[in-house]
Amino acid sequence: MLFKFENIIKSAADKESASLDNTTQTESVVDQDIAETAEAADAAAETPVTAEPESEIEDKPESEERKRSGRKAARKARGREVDKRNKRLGRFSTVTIIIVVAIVLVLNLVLEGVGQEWKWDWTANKSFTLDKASLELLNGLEDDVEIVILTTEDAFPGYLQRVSKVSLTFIPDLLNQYKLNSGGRLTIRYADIVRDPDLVKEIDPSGLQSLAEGNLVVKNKSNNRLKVVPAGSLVKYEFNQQYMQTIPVAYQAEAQISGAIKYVSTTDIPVVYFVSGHNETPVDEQYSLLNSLLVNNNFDVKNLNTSTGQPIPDDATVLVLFNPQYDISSDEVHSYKEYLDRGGSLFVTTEPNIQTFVNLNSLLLDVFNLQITGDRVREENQDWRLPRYNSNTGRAEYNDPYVFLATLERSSIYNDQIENALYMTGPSRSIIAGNNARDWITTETVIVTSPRGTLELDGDKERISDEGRQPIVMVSENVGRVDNKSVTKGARAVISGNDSWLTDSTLGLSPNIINTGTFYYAASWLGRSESTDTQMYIQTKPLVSYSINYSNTSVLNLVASLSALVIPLALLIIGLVVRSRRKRL
Amino acid sequence: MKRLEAIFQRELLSYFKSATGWVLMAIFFGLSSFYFSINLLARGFFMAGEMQFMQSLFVMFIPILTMKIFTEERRNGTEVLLYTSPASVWEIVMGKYLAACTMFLLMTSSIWLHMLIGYLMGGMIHPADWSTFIAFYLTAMAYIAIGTFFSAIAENQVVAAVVSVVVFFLFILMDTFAQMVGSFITTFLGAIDFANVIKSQGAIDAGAAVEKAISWLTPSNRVAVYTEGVFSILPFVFLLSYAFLFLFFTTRAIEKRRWTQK
Repeated sequence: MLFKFENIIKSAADKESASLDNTTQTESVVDQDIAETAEAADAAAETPVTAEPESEIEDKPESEERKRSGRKAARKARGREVDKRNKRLGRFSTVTIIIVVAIVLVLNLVLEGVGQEWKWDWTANKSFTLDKASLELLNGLEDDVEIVILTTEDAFPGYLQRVSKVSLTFIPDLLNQYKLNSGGRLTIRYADIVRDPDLVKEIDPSGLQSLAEGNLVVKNKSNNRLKVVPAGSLVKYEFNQQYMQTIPVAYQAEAQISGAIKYVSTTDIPVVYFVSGHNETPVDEQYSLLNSLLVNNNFDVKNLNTSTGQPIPDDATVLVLFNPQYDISSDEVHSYKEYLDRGGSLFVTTEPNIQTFVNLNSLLLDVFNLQITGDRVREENQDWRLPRYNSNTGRAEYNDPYVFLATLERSSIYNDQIENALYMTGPSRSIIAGNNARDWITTETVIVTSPRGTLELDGDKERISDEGRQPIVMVSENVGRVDNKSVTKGARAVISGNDSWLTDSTLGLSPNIINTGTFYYAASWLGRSESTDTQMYIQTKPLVSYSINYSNTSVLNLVASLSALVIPLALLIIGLVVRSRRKRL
Repeated sequence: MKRLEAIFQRELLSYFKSATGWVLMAIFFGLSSFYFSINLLARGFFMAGEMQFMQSLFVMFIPILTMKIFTEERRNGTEVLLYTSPASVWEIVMGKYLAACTMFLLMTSSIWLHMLIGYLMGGMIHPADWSTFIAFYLTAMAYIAIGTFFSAIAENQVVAAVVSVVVFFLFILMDTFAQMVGSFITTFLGAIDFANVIKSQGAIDAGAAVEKAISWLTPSNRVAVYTEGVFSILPFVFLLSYAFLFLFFTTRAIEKRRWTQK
């Protein structure tokens, strides 16, 4: 390619020279005359004189003079010729440089215009590309939606850089993807509210939202419903005990923006209440990723302490009890029953402990025909166990029967085949169907062990059941009924004998983990929003891990010193040897 | 092609026949391994970070790598021999340039070794690491072309290296420089507009446009997306254009030397 280009340049140079030769023909003739004169002078000066010795004495100085002046003239003529040639080639060179720079510049500018889409997202979880869920959301938009960015287009990247600890240069591109995939329904607008504060009124006529510089406002143009996405919320941060500071853990730009679009486009928003009062694990300690998932997918999330006799609010769609350590009271059984009779849903997670949950079990048996047992689940197949790192050997071992991979069965909450397994990183209780089978109650197993699962009956390690698929999570639907006593609406429940599969530490293990998705489908099913959201959810995209699981410190020290000291020193010594040998040559 | 190959081989071997190649490799190895080891001892494995760290040291490595490319010929008196050889100027320039690029690739062997070690210790090699390496090497190729050009126009190695260092430093300061020029343009337009013809927003926009245009020329700004794990064609073409332009300038500079031989 380069050589072809060189040939083109050369032929251009020849043409240039030819044209220059024509235009400067007269000059060349003059130059040639001078040169010829000089050569003649040289020849004349060098011709030996043989006749008239008297005149020889007089002519000699004259001839020397002519010789010298002839050579001088010849040198001058050649110099002038070279100078002219140099000037000519210099001009030609300048022109070609200008042409080449212009071509390269134009090529790059044209590419800037047409090639903005010629890029590929190589990240493991496609952090900078819209998910299928977002694309489907945009596809189904019925109202016109506008994303207003409260700053100028030029200032936006700088603003993102200031508010985030990780690079967010991809955000303008991501917003552009929203626009391109919306079929003209979604528009992007930059509004500099600092220069023009009146824009605040125009964007939020109600004045209820706090609009600040750099925020993104997603607005439904048809009904003026809007949601503010603060620029700082585009990345999720968590406090890291090791570094004693908050560190970024996930990109949630897409989850936030798509969630906001969903929010302004829908009117029916399920409300999830995280129940407290039974020493449940606090949401912000272990379930922050799930919390974000719900918020980003347009569940309203609230807290509720039912142990104080507080009635369950009418707007409650789902009650969530994360790993309660105490049973609910009999008063609570009544309020829960009332709530379920009017169509509520329940999500409970537990783990093996001494608690038998008498009241909770009576409620579950009555309404859903489910039972939380005291049996601890074991996995006997080593291939299904999760590794535990032995710090002494530095190796992974598979000898813990309580941490394992489990499978997701086809059920009402998710009816497709899934190849991946769920991570159960902590011990599990078994959940079973009770003996209160009714026509209006349907129970299904959702998460089970491999066919080689067993149970430690009542948690006794000596009493092991036969091998088989042991249920860990079950769902139940009570479709409601009318009897002599009362009229009940349909109620739903998801009861999990394992709590670890939903904790932040488990969900952060891998970006491809299906635990998050399973929870989302369960929540959608409970919130009865599965009709619109089946098979899709917008999740945060965890940042990749930059750590290694290698604990043998002596090996690490050896590798570090070998690579940082020994190899560079060896290379340096070789260099010195080469240098000294060359000196001796 | 054979002539190019011969020049390439001779040039590449010259790095190892003198101490330059070995010392450069030793320093590169030492510094990259220092970064790697600190991370490793903290149970971290961050290859993209290591490459970004090493890229910030291009200002030191590339001038040393390229300073001798043409100035050495001049010092040894072999310049005329080279120019009067049957090889074309492009063959000479490309042979020497590709040898420097190959030498740089060999220097990066420490990065490959670190990747292997980290991987064997259970670390993950992310797609962003590969795209960061592409950005890293493309930037190096552009910088080597710039260094080659200065080696062709400078009279001795020290001048070539110093000028390269200054230019690479200017690249680092390009954003600040762009901001300064941008605000100067805005202020200047405001100051000379006695008749209030230019709107204040117009002056600001003009300044911003100039700032954007100057920043656009900075190689490191263009490849920022690569370090995030996005492979884009535009920075790829941009950096290759940079390399091509400076190699072209180099051929012009050598041609000029040829003409001026009286």
